[in-house]
Amino acid sequence: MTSFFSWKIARALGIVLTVTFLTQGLLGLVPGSIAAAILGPQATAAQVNALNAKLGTDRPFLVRYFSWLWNALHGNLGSSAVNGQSVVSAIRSALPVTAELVILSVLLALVLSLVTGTVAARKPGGKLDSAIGAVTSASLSLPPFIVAPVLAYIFAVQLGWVPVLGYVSLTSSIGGNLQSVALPVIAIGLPEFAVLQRLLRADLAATLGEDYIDAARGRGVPEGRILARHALRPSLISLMTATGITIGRLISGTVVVEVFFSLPGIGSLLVRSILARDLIMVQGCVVMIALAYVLINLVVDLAYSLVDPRIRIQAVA
Amino acid sequence: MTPETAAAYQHESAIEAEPFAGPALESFAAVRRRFDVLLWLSVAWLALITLASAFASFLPLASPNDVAGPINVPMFHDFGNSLILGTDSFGRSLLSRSIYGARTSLVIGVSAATAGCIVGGIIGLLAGYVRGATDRVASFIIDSVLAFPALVVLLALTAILQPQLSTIVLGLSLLSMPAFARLERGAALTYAERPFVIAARSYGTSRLRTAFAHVLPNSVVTMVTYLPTIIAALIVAEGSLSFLGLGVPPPTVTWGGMILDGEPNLASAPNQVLVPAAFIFVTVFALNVLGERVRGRLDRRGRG
Repeated sequence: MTSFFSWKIARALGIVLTVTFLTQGLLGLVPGSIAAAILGPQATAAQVNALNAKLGTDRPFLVRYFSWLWNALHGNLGSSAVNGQSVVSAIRSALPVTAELVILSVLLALVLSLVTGTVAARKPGGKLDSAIGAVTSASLSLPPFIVAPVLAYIFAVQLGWVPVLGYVSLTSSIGGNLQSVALPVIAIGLPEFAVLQRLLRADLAATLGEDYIDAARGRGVPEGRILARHALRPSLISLMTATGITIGRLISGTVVVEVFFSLPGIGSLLVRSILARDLIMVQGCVVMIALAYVLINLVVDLAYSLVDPRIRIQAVA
Repeated sequence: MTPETAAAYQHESAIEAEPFAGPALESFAAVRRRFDVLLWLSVAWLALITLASAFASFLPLASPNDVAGPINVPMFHDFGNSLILGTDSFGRSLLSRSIYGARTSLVIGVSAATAGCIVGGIIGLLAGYVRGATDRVASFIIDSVLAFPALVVLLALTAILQPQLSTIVLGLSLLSMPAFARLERGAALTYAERPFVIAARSYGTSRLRTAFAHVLPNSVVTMVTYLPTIIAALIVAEGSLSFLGLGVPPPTVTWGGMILDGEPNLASAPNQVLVPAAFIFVTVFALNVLGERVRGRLDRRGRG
């Protein structure tokens, strides 16, 4: 058991290190030098050399990587070459926005999929199941960059229920904050809802055919209780892993949605830095996202194996 | 055993290994009997959009980057000069731009998926058939890449290499590779132990030849059934990039770029966003339906 956990943690650390190494390697692929890319074509050779010396990009690759890693481990990801802002402080102010979006859209997707999944699995092939199935299979083909403008047109422009753009922070007004993130959360959560719902429905429909369900029915357990207690419980485990996996796509979704609704999260920061060719900030954002992503998956993995010991045994064997 | 009998044995055992069981046969026949409207609509749309975008220059369309009429024409307002879907804020025809945008999306999606399928397939085949250290290294890389948000990788790539058609095709094929590799590895693993593969090895076929001549032709089906779905995912990824202004730059028309251009006029001229959005949705939906149905029919292992 300890070996299983340490193996998982070692693996996660390995992935994070690989990502940081690859990101540093990618920066090495920039045509010319990083300083030239930051300063643009007008810069003189002297300016480029000066900035390269300041950033330390004139040193050999491995030296650069390990000094970056050493600083990163001490909580210093460098500072923006464009406006001098510290990468860590920029990320720290952007992180809560993205975290809120991710948490709320996962919650939305989970609640919606639990309700509709249970309803649909009750009568597989029935009218309700087919109707929900049609909605989910359409949602799978609706990426956030399509849903976001359509939602904005309907709810912000036509109905005027929520503001189109702008972000109200949670600390200044809870109601205002929820209004400003409502459409983004729906846009991000919709495709994830579809994925989770289909998984849960298939899982539940299979579980409902098991003998112990028939046994419970034979004992006269009410149908609702069978669904909620006997059938749903084993399916929750696979739902949990699937939720961990969908967070990867969720992070991609937040990038697009943050940019569309001008929310000041990590995604906007990343895109803004890319457009400004602020490569040090880009590197910081990518590493942060990788770290968050690997951590979430690690937690899901470990929690999953605590719930179902069979996973642990298989993984070690 | 002569090659001929080996081939016959291979054919026979392939059938024997996967007999059509009662229920499978029934559902297979049931699918055949029922005319699948959604599937045929999807195929019709994909054929239409492919042909229209391939032969766009021969269609009576305004050039996608030329002023074709007044600016901000709403939908179904003017039927002449291909203005039926309206115009954007430069007076360019939305119909014509959508069709040329389809060309960009389809070329990128299909070429990146094909490249990913070939390279990923070879990696997966070797990992699944050769096993051992090759498999462990390949699997670690596949898992690591799959464990990372795809759009972020693409964004990092475009930050470093300037966004242009070749960069984006390269980035997307790199992203689709691990998915194909994993599919092919799984399929190769199951075929590696089949009697016809062992028979081929036993009469002296080299490992490499066995992998490519006996395992690959059988296991390639799994990857092919996932092609439409992966093309759909790549079209969405390309659309996201263009929407963020990091896709193929103008004058090349992209659907994501059209949504980006139309977004400021959302209140006054919603068709500038809704038309390209509808084109993306219908195309991606059709590809997803096609992928799902093809998997249901060909991949007898069931849905992946």
